[in-house]
Amino acid sequence: MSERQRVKGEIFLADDDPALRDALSVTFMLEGFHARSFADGASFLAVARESIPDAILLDVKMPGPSGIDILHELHAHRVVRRACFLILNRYGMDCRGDGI
Amino acid sequence: MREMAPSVMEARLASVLDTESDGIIVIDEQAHILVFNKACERLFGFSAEEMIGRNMAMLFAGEEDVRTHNSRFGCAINADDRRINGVGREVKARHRDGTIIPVELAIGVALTLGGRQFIAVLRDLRPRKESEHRLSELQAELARISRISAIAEMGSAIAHELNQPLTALMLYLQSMKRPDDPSSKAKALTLHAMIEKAHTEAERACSIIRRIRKFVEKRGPEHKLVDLRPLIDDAIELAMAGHRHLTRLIRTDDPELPLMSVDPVQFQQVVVNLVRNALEAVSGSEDAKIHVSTRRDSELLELSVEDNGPGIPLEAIDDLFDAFSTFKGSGLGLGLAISRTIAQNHGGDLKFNPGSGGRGTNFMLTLPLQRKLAGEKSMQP
Ligand SMILES: Nc1ncnc2c1ncn2[C@@H]1O[C@H](COP(=O)(O)OP(=O)(O)O)[C@@H](O)[C@H]1O
Ligand SMILES: [Mg+2]
Repeated sequence: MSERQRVKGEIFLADDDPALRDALSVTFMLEGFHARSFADGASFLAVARESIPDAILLDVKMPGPSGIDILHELHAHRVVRRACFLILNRYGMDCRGDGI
Repeated sequence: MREMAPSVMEARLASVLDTESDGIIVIDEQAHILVFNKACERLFGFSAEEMIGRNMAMLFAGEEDVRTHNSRFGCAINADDRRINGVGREVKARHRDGTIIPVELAIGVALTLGGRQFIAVLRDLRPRKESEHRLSELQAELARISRISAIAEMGSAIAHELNQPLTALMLYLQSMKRPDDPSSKAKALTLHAMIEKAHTEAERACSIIRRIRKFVEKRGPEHKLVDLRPLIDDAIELAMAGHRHLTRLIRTDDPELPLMSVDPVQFQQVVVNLVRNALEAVSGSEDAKIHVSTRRDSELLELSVEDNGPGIPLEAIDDLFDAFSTFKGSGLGLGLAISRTIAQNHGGDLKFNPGSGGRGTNFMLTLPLQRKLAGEKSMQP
């Protein structure tokens, strides 16, 4: 996937489960998005304050600031207006596989 | 009158012997049987007639028993031997039909004109063994019910835990089935890597289920000589469901941890209970930390679960180990009660340091180190 000609957009995702993070990145990548993943809320915020992606995917329950905390924080920074948000609930996505 | 006295005595004695529920055998110094009461007839299936004059050794099983009895009753009898002076010990008796019967044997010495005689009192231990066995079965069943209820309490956390690898698995599979650029080399590589990853996630889901199944499986009490470390790690894995990335778990082991004889699942149950309690105590605190450690000294092994929560509420301390004493909305209050029973059934104990005032709680499970008893066999899993 080195040729980046047709990147549809950039997605930031934060989830504390490494496998889920990886699986989500792979999926987005294959769908033509550029995905950047973060293991916790703090590292996510550090980057998201500076650069605004096209979409954000957050796990509600994570070490440090939760998905909700992050939402508030980014709202204050007016990031929300530009990015599309998606918050995963604590129980992950349901397993139908067409959830995203 | 003087002549009557012995026969009255004899009649009384005979009646006492016959009504006595314990077996009574009187033997001479050569272990020949002189008296064999009714209870003995019932216990061994031999009549007094058959047994009078024969050697008592035939009534006991196991070479060791026969030998000690022969030497003890036959020749050199050491009158100082505490066991001969009425202190009971457990031996194996043999019924006429070959059945081995555990009995408690107490021996007294009588000095008579005809030489020393020995009075053996035998108590059938089967009813006691039976009720002990029943008790331990009931306790095992209760422990299992409490394991099931612990899993039920963790239900939604476990569902989450299980959903994680399954979701990842779904995503990998979904990506694999994408139709685009089928011949690209990069795609083939990714495909292979994804199959590997999908496989890892399926395994992760399986191991969660395996762990739970082992935890709630129906089985009787058992003791095995095992390495406790993997048991502790596994129990922590189970207990951490839903708290994995919110609480820091520190784990240290004594470098010289010996194998221990425990009921593996019951031991894990104690660990799960203590870790769950600790997790609940620290939940919501800033720097939530739990330290699970093992330590041994010359006599015992100690497993300590220490948290940095608020400590045990003062009003909870007095009946902390009572069943149904809980200070949580959802708890059953069985965890500590059962954990302590399990500890005690292992010859150990469960103690605590209540903490509070900035210090967290510390629970300590102590287990006696394996004493190598003569002839004791180690049981391998
Ligand atoms: N690590 C701990 N820190 C503070 N309190 C504790 C701790 N462990 C146990 N307790 C107290 O002991 C009570 C009884 O615990 P337990 O027998 O495991 O039942 P349950 O967890 O179902 O309430 C708990 O409700 C709690 O108040
Ligand atoms: Mg509990």
